[in-house]
Amino acid sequence: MASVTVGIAERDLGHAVEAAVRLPGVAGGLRVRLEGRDAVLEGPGRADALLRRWRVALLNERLLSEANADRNALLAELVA
Amino acid sequence: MSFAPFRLRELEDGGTLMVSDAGRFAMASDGLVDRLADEALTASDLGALSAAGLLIRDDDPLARAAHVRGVADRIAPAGALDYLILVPTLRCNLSCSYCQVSRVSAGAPGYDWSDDTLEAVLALIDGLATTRVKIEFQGGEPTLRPDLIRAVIDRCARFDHAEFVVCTNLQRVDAEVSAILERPDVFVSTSLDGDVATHARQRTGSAVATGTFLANLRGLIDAHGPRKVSALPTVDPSAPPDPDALIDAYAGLGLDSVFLRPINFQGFARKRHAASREQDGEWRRYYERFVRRLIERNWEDRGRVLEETYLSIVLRRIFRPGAERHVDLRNPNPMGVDYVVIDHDGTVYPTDEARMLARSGVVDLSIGDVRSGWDGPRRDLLNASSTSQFDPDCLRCAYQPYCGRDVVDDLARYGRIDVPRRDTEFCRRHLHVFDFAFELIYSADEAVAHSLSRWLRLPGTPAAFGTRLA
Repeated sequence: MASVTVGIAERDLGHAVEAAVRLPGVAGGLRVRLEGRDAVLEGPGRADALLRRWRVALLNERLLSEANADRNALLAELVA
Repeated sequence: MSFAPFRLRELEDGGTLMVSDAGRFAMASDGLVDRLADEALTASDLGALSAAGLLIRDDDPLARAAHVRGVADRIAPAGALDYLILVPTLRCNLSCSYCQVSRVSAGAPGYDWSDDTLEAVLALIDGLATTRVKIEFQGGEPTLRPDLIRAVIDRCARFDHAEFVVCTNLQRVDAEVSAILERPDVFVSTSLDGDVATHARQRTGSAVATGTFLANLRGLIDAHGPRKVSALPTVDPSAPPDPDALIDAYAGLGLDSVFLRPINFQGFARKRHAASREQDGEWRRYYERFVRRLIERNWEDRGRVLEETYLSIVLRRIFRPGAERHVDLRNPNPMGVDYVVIDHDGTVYPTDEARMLARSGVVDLSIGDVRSGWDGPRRDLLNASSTSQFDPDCLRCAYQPYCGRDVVDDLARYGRIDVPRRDTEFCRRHLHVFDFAFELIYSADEAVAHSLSRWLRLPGTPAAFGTRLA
């Protein structure tokens, strides 16, 4: 088991909660705890692997947020 | 301005998969992921992402149109009713411990279609707007009522194309049943749980009965070729067979496709195999071991292609949108629109699993009756939740364009449909199989590439199945 604490960048603060909630469900055994502006990651494997998973999860949340309006507009276009 | 309609999935081996809403994908290098995270993409990155269909620039209307078309192709259309699952009898001449349909004994009265129900089914067939129809006979054991099967088949003579599947245990193939099964438009679906001992233990209860089944199965294959028969094993995850033993049981009969499935948490299995509600890592590791053994055997003997059926379905979902109509893996998954199940008493269900749940007394998911129809509020209620499009977990998932939604599966396992997706067996199962598929897609092993090509029915073997972005 590895444990690592990583700071959360300003631009990712709004996405950290969602990433922390959802990541454990899709990355077996990984747990995320938010403490202020830090994320504490615990799980099987190496620390750098945990960091990678967290970084990708945060990035995914940000990309989702940025694309949300265009994505919904496209779906509305298809439904119409 | 640009639109970046892709989602990320970190794979076990450390690679980061990028998948667009249209299902186009690429494997990102660590460097690219870092540049994305740091908002430091280079002009070269932007060009590569655009070329891969992962970035849609506002000044590129053709790319946008292609993306929109790609997204549309991923949304399953609900066509006219053209697929019927008919249950002419719930009676069965076997009693498998994990029977998912909760059959009744062969002599039990009152579990066959009445004359009135038969007439209603035939009237339904007469009213179908389609020119092509597929009808699957389930049970119980439908061959206990060959007259009902024949009546339905005869009524379908008007269609340009009609295909019939008889799901049977092949225990009794007399002259009347044989005449049906020999038709070129009739195919057989049966269960073959492995070697003689396994099949006898789990299904027939005797070596004699298993011998009868195997003789009937071989007879069909010898007379009509292996495409006549589709066989599926039911595997007890607590004691799975050796992969080669299971493969040999199929290959020895000329059957090349194995739909590897664990005991289904339905019917008798809900009590006798309670552990089947959830599958664990052991089952998933066995599944991978089985597939890898198929890959090895396909490489050893390149004149033959063995496949695991569900993985082939998943690969088609990835590479060939619209080519795969497997009703258990599509999004949206409309209930009671393009296919329905008509039970022994004329009750209509949206899926066979829904019928099983009602039979087990878990929940009544019937949506109507063959006489009075099923276009009502119960169907609408189910359909209100039959999409993954707006689910908060699915929205974030790279595999959403390929995946599906199965409301009935959630009800069977959890008694409700609002369990967070990521906590459901449906999600766990499909995350695993898609992860595994992409591990194979990006494998450098030529044996893997050979099998993937054959499973995708490609004329050759491409140099690569997926793009890598530096």
